[in-house]
Amino acid sequence: MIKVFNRSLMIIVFSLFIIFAVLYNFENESLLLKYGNSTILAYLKWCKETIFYHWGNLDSGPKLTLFQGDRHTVGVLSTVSYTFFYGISGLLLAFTLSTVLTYKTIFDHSTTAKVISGFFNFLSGIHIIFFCFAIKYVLGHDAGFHVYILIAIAIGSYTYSDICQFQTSQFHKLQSTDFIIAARSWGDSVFKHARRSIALGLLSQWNSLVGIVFASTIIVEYYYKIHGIGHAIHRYFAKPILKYSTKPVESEFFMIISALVIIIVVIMSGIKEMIYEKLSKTQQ
Amino acid sequence: MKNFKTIFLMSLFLFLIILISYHWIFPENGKYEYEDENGDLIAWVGPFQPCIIYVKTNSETFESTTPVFGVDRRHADLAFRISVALWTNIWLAFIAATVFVILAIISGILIGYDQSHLPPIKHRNTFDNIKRLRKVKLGKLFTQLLVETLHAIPMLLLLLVVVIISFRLFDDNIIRMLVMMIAIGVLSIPKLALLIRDRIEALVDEEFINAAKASGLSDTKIIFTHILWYECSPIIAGQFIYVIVQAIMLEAVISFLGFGGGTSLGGLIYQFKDSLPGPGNSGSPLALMPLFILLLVAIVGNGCAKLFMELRHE
Repeated sequence: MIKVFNRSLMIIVFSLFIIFAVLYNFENESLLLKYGNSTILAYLKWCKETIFYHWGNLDSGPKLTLFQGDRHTVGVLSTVSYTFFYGISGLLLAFTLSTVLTYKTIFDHSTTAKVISGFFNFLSGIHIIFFCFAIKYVLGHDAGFHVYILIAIAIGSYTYSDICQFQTSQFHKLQSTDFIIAARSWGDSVFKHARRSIALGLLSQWNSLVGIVFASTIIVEYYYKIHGIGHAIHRYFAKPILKYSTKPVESEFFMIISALVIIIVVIMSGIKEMIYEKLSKTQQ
Repeated sequence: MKNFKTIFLMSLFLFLIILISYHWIFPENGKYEYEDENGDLIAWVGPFQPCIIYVKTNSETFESTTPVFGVDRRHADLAFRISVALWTNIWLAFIAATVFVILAIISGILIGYDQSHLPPIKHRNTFDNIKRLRKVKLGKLFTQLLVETLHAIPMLLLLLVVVIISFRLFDDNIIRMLVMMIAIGVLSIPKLALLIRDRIEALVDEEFINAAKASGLSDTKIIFTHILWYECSPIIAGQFIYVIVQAIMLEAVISFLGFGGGTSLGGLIYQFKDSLPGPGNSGSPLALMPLFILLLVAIVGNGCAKLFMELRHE
């Protein structure tokens, strides 16, 4: 437990330092320069200020806060939580879809499930940006219908294929295990016995999938201007920078968004490790 | 079925090679503009339509037909522009993939290969001190932290920081894209580094590794010949192709956000986005061509990566 906590803390501190160092050193008039003249000292001061809930301001004036208040504040949590829930919903959809189709293919020898899974696998190799174009130009959804978007996040950018490939090899191994053979011979439900292994499979893939899903969600939000990190990037970074070349990068906003995202990802990864350990022990 | 897939994949690959070569085979097309019979410049006209070609450099004109993919909104040969864009994307993606492979292999070895069996230090000099550092595994710890950190940061987030900063620092589009490609290479390290680490950990107690150690082979020889070359080469090749495809796709995404260069596929998609067809939109289907080529690149890339993975299983 302490080991996981220490490792997680180390990763959060180090990863935020990388982002801070890039924004601090390579931007001529970075907003982060107010924290000090040396990168490390400035970073430490930024950490202290962040812990004490002084998250800074946007260049145009509004204060950065956790929740949206009046028009002089910008709420950060809602931005991150929208992206987070979209991403996790997409991931769970991909996982459910893959579990059902792979289970049907391997344990029930269903040809239909195999064909559908193969088709999804092919689609999964296509980048999420294609799905955005297809939804907008072929289906004519300018605002991006939410179900389409969730399906796009679940399938695009290798999300589905990564889960499916892993589950295929996992289920093949599972099929030849003693407890599954015994369950089958007793006429018991195979799924009932396999569900713990399926959950372990999702947990072991968690880290690599979360990054992909976050990236996919950011692209979708940017494209359809849905509230979330993607839209915030469009509104506070891309648009002003492309429009006014002298405007400074909103470094403080970017840092706090990055901090929240990384903290969420690392905490989820820590929880995942603890659940994984517990499940593995129970299985043994 | 497998043969059919391979043949299909090879045909697409050949098509892409021919498309890349197009701007070398017909270099003069870059200087042409296409006019109709009244002398007006034409845009979004399909292939092989009768037209007059205007040579920009010496103001000459002659009668001909529009090229294989037709003419784009800038009155230029669409195939020529796509060919140049595809070539730019390919060499930039190769740089990203090369940076990725080199750094990921080094990281994978550092975090995977246990060096604690090094002989004890007899004489104290600088070299022995470096060896001592290896013995306490500082390099391993640092690399492990770096790989885990990169693994924890969502790639697009850090990539956007790099892109925005390089957009400010450099005026040249190619340099911006080069920086972006190096960033993609560095940020992709965890994928291969962790795979190599797992492979090394799985192989380290295998009989052939123990036999190699017993027969006096050096660590370098064991790592490069027995582990990387014989065991990990299909993984490395698969990941190399995967990163090439990934870099091309990410370039398209970044260009679509407005931070890319005009001479890449992403740049073309960005330029043509107002001309795309759709419900209530009077665009041209020709504007979809860069997207279609991007899709072909994804299909060929994924197919090749899959072939390498199958090779690994065989």
